[in-house]
Amino acid sequence: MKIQLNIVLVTIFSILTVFVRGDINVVNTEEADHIISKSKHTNNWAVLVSTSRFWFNYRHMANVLSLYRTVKRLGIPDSQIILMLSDDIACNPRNAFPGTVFNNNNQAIDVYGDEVEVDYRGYEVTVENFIRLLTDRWDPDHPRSKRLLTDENSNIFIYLTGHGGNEFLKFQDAEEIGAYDIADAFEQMYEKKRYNEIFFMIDTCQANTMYERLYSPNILAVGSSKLDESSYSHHSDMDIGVAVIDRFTYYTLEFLEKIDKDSKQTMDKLFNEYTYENVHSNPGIRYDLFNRNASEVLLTDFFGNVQNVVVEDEGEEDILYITNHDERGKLVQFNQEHNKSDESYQIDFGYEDVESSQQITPMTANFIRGLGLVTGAVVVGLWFVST
Amino acid sequence: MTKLNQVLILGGLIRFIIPTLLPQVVDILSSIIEISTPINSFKSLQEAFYYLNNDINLYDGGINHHPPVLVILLSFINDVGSSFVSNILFNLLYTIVDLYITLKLIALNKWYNEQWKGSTRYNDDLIASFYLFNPLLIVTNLSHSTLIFSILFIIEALNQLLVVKNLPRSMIALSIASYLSYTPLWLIIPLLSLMSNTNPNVPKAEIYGRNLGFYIMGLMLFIMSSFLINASWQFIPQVYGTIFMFNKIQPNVGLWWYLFTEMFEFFTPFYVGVFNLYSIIFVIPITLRFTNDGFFAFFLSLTWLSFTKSYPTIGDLGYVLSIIPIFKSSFLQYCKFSVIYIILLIVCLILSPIFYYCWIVLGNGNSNFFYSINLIWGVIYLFIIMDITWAKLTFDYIIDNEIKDKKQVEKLRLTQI
Repeated sequence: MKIQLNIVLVTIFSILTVFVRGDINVVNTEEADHIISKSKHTNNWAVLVSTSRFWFNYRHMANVLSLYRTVKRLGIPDSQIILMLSDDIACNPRNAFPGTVFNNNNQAIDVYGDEVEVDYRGYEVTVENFIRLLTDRWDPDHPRSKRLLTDENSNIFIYLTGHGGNEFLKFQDAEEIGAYDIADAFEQMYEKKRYNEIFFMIDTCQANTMYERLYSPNILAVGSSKLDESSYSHHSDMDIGVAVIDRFTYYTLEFLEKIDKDSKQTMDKLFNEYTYENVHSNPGIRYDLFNRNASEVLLTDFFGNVQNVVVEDEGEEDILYITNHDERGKLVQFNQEHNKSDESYQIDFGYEDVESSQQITPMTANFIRGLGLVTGAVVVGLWFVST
Repeated sequence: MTKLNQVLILGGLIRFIIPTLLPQVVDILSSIIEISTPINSFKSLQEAFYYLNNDINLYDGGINHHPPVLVILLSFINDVGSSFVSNILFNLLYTIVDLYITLKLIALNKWYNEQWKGSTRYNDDLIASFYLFNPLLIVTNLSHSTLIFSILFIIEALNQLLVVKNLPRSMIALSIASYLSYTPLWLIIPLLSLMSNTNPNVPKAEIYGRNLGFYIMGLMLFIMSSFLINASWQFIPQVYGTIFMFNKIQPNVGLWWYLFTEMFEFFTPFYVGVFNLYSIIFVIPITLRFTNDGFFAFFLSLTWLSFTKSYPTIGDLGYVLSIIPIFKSSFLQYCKFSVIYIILLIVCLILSPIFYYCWIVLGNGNSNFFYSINLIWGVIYLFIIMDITWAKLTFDYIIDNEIKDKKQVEKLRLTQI
């Protein structure tokens, strides 16, 4: 009785497994609508700027490098990331762990590492270079790798961190950029159709003032603290001696660690992390220039480089089958016939006799096998017949 | 259990157990260029099986150089079950082929030495062990190279002609061998001469005409059926054209590849013609000179063709070496310097993989290192040919002049005028 029950269960289970689709990556068109981002962008760029220098601004470097790692992990290639750092932390004589930059006192990740591509380092991080970068107004001999080569289908993630104040941001202890300057730069970008959507994130003191002056469409802006408020660092590392990460960026990273390249998480979940209890300041979000709802915006629209591919719901998945059979399932071959009547100069490639099938009619495997067997049988017959 | 059976069982076990227990042996050995060439490698055969199963023209892509009928007949073994089962069946097939060749060699040995009234022939088990325990042949067999099928049908042709005395069958066998690889095509000449030797009663014209007709009929049958199978003539340039025109210039144990990589393309057709001519042209003089011993003429032609082949392997030398002991009663006693080429063989076998590794993997050698060993490999062939030919001529002289006295034989000093 027990054995019979087992057999029944096994058969039912095995029948049910037929309906388990192993090919979870095939979706039909309605499902595809839900998966594909509504953002209509075709590529992603990131501009990550740390505007401070000197050893005690370790955390700003760690902020930017952590986000650099995140953005790379989620798929944006180095060729589409512009990284502007003073780059004076890793090899600083005061660094007890030379060649490293950590973003946590558990020193779990070295965000500097071996594969950091810094585009603007040291004293190249200036207001003029930043504005020129955004508007792409360079000398003709400025290298392409240091330019923001975006087009109207690019989503750009712009992250600034450093010391700021009421409508200004200090660059390298020598100059400042104003909120109006950034707003005008973005307007130039809009007029030159250099972006599809911009996500502007700024982690400084009184950061929200920096986005108040923006007036171009399709910009979503987040700041870490409002007017007359400071943004705080999260914690220090006793061995390094300085603070290693800022609160706002810390909670951003903590949330982003949980997502991967094909995540469908939306921005409002990220913004829910920005509470007063977490960041000890009042972060602000500017929605009015952005025409989509934050609950529709995928995180990977800005942090990642995901393009979703939708496979047709009808048709074979077997590419080999598709290339060799036409729509009705008939076996076809591609015949390359040289047009001999064309007396003009013919380019003769060396590989054409191996890469083009010159079969007169397409042959199926079973027919070929049959012919081979017939040949073998004929030979064996001749063998035994001959005396 | 007789000694022969012991040898056969042991040889069969080596060829069956090792690739069954260690299937990666086949893959490793078929990647070694001294053992398998693009023409006869097992990997390209497996690729051809995949093409066959997926309705792709077998010669698309220029990887497969096996004739269509071979691919089809072996694909039945491949499609039997899981890859584990089909691998075991392939191991079994190659073991059986090698054992069959051994048995035929034993029969040929018996026949040859009865011809020369030889009481001093090697025992059956020794002939079997010369073949089965030859390391060159073991390695060629374990790599599942398809060279073995050509050799099978060459030996079978000899066997049918000499032992079973069925001439049409030997022609069919030789036509199969030439269909499988192009080189045995030229062995028809010494085989026809051997035929007329062993059948002195039949007029020469009839023997030559009939058997040549059988041979051409067998060849045409295969070529026509390949045309039907492939629905085009594409298989001819891929299977035979590659060998004849040396289309795939890849390093191997032979002498052709280095010269073709170095020369200008303007000269390539000339050199292709010259090299092929050099390979073919000596078969007729050898046959004409040694009409009294057609089997020796056949063997010497086989050696010469292996030497001047475009894509040789170490297995070719192995087959030649395993046939040499058959000649014990005729001239093997007069071979003078076999020690030299045995040592050369060992040196080549040690140095060739080392120099290849230095050239390709480490990059601190270059192709000259490897080619120098190929030249020495050719020298081995040349020494064998020289030694054996001279020994044969000495033996012929002794037979012709009926020198029975052993002391006189020892004092004999022959020179060539």
